[in-house]
Amino acid sequence: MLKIENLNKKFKNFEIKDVSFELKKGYIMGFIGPNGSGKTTTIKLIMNLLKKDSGSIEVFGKDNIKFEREIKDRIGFVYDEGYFYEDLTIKQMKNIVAPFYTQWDEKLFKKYMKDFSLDETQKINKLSKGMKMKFALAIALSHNADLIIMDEPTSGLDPIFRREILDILYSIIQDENKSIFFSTHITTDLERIADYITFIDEGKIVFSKEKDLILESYAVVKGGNEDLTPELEKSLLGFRKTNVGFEALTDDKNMIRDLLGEDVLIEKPSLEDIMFYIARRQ
Amino acid sequence: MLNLIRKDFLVTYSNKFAFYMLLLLIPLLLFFIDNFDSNTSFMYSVLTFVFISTRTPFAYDMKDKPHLFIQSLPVTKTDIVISKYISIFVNFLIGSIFTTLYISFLSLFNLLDISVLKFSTVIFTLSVSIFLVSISLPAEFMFTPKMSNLINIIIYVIFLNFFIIGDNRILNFINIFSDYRIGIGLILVLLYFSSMVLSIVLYKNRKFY
Amino acid sequence: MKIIISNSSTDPIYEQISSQIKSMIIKGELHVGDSLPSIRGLARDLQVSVITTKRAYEELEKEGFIETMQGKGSFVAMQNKGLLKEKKLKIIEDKLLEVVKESRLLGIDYNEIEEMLKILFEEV
Repeated sequence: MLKIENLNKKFKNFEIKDVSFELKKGYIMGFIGPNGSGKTTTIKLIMNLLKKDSGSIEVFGKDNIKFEREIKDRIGFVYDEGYFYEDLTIKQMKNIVAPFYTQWDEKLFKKYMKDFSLDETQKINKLSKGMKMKFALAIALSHNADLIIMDEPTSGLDPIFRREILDILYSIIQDENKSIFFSTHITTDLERIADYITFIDEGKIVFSKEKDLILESYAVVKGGNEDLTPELEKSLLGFRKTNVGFEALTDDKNMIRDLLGEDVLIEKPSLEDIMFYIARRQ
Repeated sequence: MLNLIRKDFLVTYSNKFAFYMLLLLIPLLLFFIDNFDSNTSFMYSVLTFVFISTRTPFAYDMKDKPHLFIQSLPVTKTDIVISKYISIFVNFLIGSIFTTLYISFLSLFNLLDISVLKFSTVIFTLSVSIFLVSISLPAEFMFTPKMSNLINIIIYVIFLNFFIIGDNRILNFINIFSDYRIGIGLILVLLYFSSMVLSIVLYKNRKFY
Repeated sequence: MKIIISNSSTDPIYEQISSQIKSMIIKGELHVGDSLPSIRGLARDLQVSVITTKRAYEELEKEGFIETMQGKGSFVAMQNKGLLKEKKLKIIEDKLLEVVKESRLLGIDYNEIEEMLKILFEEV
């Protein structure tokens, strides 16, 4: 569905280098990374809001620039901010947007309006952030899009809203012909729902794998400072030392278990742990 | 393409702004009655109208950045640029119709004489509109909204001064214009299309968004 | 049908799913031919990823507990009576192995274990 190969883009102070990953039909991919790591830039390159320096971006198997209109017709896109015409009403905004899509489904849109408790006659500048997000989502879902791309859709929303949006994503993915690509720095949202995770840091891809495999191959190690020998330090992926002990990330929990056994606590990592330690290391 | 033009139209006229704009044409005309006749009034108000209504959508882009949203729709940057260039004519049509109506209305009170309005004036105004907008649009696509705003105000003021010189010069100008209309027409077409190509290139390569 | 996932358990989620379904089949709570929830529907109900449920089902299919038919879904497979008994015994064997290991660590001998089993079988 979405295939990026060796994407490069250089700015004055920042660079996206050799970014490659792939998302197949029917899955949800979470795109994580610290602020400023290149998440939004990558998404803007996919949507051709920015011009790439080199590399290939294919959506639905087609080049994203040569077939821009065709591709965007099948993409539902949600920004972190609304970027709507604030002085218009929802209905007016919708009337501007709908004719652009060949498969606009008015009935479906009305259904989402109802499900999200949104009033068509409301002015957009009177909507809360959460409601704007839901409106954006309603638009993205009302033209039979096969790929939903979301750039930080849940930041700034309260946890209840965030759960609601996740529920919506779950219902979308019931159709195995659709895919969702979702960038966020709120990793707890992804921990449950994502099938794949792509982690970008400082413009480079750290990994792009099945979420289950990631959570299984890494582990958090907690122990006393006496156990933290220099060789051990080297083999860890990042650690944090305090007065009362250390906490570290490893990608080889068996080795740690054999080495230190009962002296340390080995725990399942969260995506946040993984992101934190790996980003720290660079 | 049509959708983009429609979008600009809806955005501009969906709220009170357009209403006030069209209403403003009357006082504008009235203001110049003593100095100008129908022809100059027509020129002045239509030019102002075209200039402002072509630029209004960009002003909205500055405020809420909806151009980012529009670019996520099935359109290319080329489509967006071309639609702006086509909207010159749409806005000219609307401005001309309303201005003519207002002048006719004012004629009833003998404030202006609609019968004096010549067709050549309309053509001239159209040409100047094309000229004006062809210069101002690339600036919109190249610079940040704040910067292009500044540049366009400067362009407008320069043109303003040119017209407030007096209506005799204008009438002479229009006559000269008619004589060389084929040559000038070609130059205008060239300018229009090169400006369009320039805008497309500038917009595609713009580093910010 | 009841499947409950523990987030704090060290067992991977797909394993929790497959072992719970496994035991339901072995205990007879699920019968041959019963249909299982779709991979995506289950992912949604448990709020886990589709790949997780897919993996659980794949394991169950590998071990012969279920079979999946393209377009129709997954069903409890015909269980060979002998194999079923074998699977049941394996579950007990695994648990007993843990008991034996732990006993060795703690220094408890076979006779004490036998006594304990006798009492437990009478009480429970």
